Amino acid sequence: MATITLRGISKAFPGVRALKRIDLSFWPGEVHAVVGENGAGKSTLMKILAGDYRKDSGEIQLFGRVEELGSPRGAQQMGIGMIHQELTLLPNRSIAENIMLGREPGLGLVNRKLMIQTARDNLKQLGLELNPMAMVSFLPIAVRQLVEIVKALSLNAKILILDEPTSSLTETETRILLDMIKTLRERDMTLIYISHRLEEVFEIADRITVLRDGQLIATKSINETNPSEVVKMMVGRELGDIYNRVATPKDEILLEIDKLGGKNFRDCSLVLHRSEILGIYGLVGAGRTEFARALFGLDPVISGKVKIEGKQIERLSIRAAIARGLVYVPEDRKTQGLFLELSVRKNLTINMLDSLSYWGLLSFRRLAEVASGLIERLKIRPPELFKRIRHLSGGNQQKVVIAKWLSVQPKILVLDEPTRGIDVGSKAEIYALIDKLATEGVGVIIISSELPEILGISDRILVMKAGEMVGEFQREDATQDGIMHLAAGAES
Amino acid sequence: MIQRYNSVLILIGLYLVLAVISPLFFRMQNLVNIFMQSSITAIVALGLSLPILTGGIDLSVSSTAALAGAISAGLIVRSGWSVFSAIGLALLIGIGIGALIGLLVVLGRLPPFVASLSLMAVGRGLTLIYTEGKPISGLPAGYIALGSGSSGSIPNLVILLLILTFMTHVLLSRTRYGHHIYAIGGSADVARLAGIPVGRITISVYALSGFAAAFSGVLLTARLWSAQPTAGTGLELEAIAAVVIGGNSLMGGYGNAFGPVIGALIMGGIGNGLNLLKIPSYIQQVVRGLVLIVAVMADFRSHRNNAAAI
Amino acid sequence: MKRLLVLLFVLGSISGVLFARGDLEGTVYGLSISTLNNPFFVTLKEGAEAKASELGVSLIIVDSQDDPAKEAVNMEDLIQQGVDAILVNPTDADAIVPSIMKANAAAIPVLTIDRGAAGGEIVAHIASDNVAGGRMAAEFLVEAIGGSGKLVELEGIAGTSAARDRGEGFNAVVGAVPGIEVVARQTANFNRAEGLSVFENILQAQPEINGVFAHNDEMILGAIEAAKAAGNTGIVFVGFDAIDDAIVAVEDGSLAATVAQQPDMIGALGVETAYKYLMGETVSANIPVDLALVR
Repeated sequence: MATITLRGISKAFPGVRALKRIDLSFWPGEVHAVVGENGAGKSTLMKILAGDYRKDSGEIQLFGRVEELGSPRGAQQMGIGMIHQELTLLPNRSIAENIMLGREPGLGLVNRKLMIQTARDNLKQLGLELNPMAMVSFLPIAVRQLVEIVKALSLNAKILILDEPTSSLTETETRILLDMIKTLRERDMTLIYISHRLEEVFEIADRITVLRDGQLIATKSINETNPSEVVKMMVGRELGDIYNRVATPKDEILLEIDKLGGKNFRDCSLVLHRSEILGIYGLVGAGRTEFARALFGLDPVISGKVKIEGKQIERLSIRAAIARGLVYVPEDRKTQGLFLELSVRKNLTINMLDSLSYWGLLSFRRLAEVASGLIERLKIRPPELFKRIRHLSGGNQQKVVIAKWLSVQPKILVLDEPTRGIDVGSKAEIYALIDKLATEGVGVIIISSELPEILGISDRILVMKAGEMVGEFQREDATQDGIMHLAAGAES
Repeated sequence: MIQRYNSVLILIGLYLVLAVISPLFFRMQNLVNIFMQSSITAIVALGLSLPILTGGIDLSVSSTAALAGAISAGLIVRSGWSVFSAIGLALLIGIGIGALIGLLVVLGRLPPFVASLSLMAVGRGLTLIYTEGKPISGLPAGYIALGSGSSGSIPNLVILLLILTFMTHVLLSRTRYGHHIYAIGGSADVARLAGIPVGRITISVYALSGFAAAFSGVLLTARLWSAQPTAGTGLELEAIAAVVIGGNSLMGGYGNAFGPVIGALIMGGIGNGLNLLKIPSYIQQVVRGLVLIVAVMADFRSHRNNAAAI
Repeated sequence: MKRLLVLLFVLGSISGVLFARGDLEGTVYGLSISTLNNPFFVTLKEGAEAKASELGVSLIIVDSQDDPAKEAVNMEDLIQQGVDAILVNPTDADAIVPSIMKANAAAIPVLTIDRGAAGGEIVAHIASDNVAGGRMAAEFLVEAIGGSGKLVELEGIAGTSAARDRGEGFNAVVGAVPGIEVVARQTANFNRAEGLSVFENILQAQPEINGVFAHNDEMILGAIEAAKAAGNTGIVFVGFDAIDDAIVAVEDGSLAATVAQQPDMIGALGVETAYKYLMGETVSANIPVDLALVR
């Protein structure tokens, strides 16, 4: 009998249909991988299973009975354990206290001996020889993850959801975790494994389910498929002509990066020409954002050289970058790019208040002129100066983020996930804007984890994996398969 | 672990330095004095450390102390209550004020800072109303003995502090309740997921903090032989400083019962030492501030080093 | 950690060298002041310091910051240092009692300054002579109105020693002058607003008034406003305390005079009395300090 059966699960968020009628069963003793691009609906589905989200419709059967999970705690009590990407252990407490949290033995006074013994037994059952008294904050991440699994199992979990469990683990640590998963499979547990890393998936999984755009594309036994087919199913969507490219790259080199290294990336080199759009593709955690942030002076650089228009920059800093015409539009516009509670006008003009001041006082008339000009140019809707940014759509918010940097007349524009979470219409407008900037001579670097976008907009594509640049494609010979294989590390 | 030793080391180091500079410092009577002088702050800090462990704060302790002192004294002197029942009611009022803050935090969703700041003002106002702005004196010997008397050569204040410290230690390290306090401070969400009654425990830690504040108010009244309407002004900051200097995290989730007491003894030692060194009072305030920075920075650094060692 | 201890040691040694002036040899008095955030007490402290260096004794000054709990700590520390005498300016008459008893138990003589104590053994109490101040105000007022006329007395909070003593001195003088009649004697509780309303009422009943004495400046300033509002000129006003507002009023002529305490003399007399006591002289239990008329 299936441990979990999902029937017609749907979930919508305002403006987005995150999941459309998902039918899926999980069996005891199987490792079931769920894969898909970012935004395909994996997390939403898992959060429904873990009781974090409520489904809009459909039913969930646990061991043949229809159940409402209600809350994370409800799901936990019904035997569903979730190992989150961000671990949920209390760092300043011991392993034993974490495992036994909320179930400390003893009446009033905690029976420490019993608590430690129980924790030790739980650890031993999974072959872990850890000191239950050790403080969690002193443990390596991988061990914390194992402790988290032990905690879930001690709560009698029959189903374990692992969300990108290896994203922050080293090779060896990943080995240990995969071995642990195999052990658990032998004990007839159901393991739901979410990962970007196809090599791991093909090593560990028995079955694989591919989600795309909130829909279940296929569920296949691992023996009946191969990485190429899975990649095709993950990205297989038609590229419309929303990418209308006009600009052509010039020979002049704007930006030259030589072996830049920093936190989570190393030896990254690239060259960007005038009027060129350069795509950088990589999966989450590949180090793309860290690379861009370091380039903009947000994070420290360990090694490497950066030249802008032939002149080397001595020390990367935000001031230096802006002064030389390099600007960075961050990945998360809500927390890093915008003042959500301020008006469109204030957001648009925040970078050029100096040039709009007279004798230290701001000229409201000039502010309004400049902001209106940008609204006009980027077709920001609604075209209202005093609307609070919070009330704009994602696409228009993104336009504001880009627009506010146009005021400093950048030569190099680095866009990190510029179209995440915005609708197709706005996407097309943003692509058109990027192309227009390129025709005006701006060099653009686009960082994205959406393959169609990278393929559609870029003149050249660099692929990043595990902090390194692992490949380069010219526009004409780039293919989805080729890029995905390099990025996910599957064998071609 | 390292942090705990750190504050003890600071305490020992500080006392050794003071002993070298001032020959009077290491006299037994002086050490007993410091312990006694620090005990009221230490008791407040012990109570206050519980909300802080959950990641909250309680600023109302100073006025709760004043109110409890005034009410217990007033009931005895003006209304002829017995010492026992007057103090009992004062302590209940302290618990009530604390529980009210907890309710505002849990049910009213007020930030603890705001909830306790408001009740600090209310408490002070009530104290001034009840005392009509004038001190209440004429307390019976039984009451006064609590704060001024001693058993053998050990002041009663010190004995009470030791008892309360031990009780808090057992509460935090040995009881399920104590473990849950740490869990809430570590992450309220994780605690909730583990089935811990986060709301109820949050309310109760403020009630306990109110109790400790009220108790210290009674002791302060007994020490001064009179209830002062302005008693305890600034006590909340001193207690917070004691908690932090003692190595407990102001963010919650980390610390123990000894930290606040050691912190109070460090501050008491500094004050006493500066007095013995005849350092003018204006300069004393500057030195206190500097020592606070040094102590907390040392602590913070060792904490950061731990994190880096992972 | 090691570095921290070194830092502490260095800090401590430096402050030790810088501030531990003088040794514990010779005569040392402890001076506990209610607050050094008030210019009155700062002046008092300076008077005491000047007298101490004149007599060749050293002073340890502690500041209670108006907090009785801190005062108790400071007093304990003074006792611990074995000072020869303690001069205390209490934050509160009741709260100081346990500390005084501790000093008594350690056989350290205690003198109170400016504010008294409700218990314990006190060698002497040194404070402004409010009776003499009242007398001084009355003599000035009688002369200013030409030896005869109608006077009003605005009294302070009933039961306070200041109100009692200032009234006593004032009435002793005016009662002995035949041409003087005190037509109204009412309390305005040391408060400016009450001074205003009380004097308004008095003016209603008694339009002809030659002079007013109030037990403090706040009340007299209120009375001056009431007189101005009623268009009543020619009244001679005399206040008490010489607060800043009153000095301004004296300068612009609306206030004829105010009686000032002399905190530096209080401090100096305190030290002098302790010195005499320790030299074996008999000192009187109550030592009044003269006041000065500001006109």
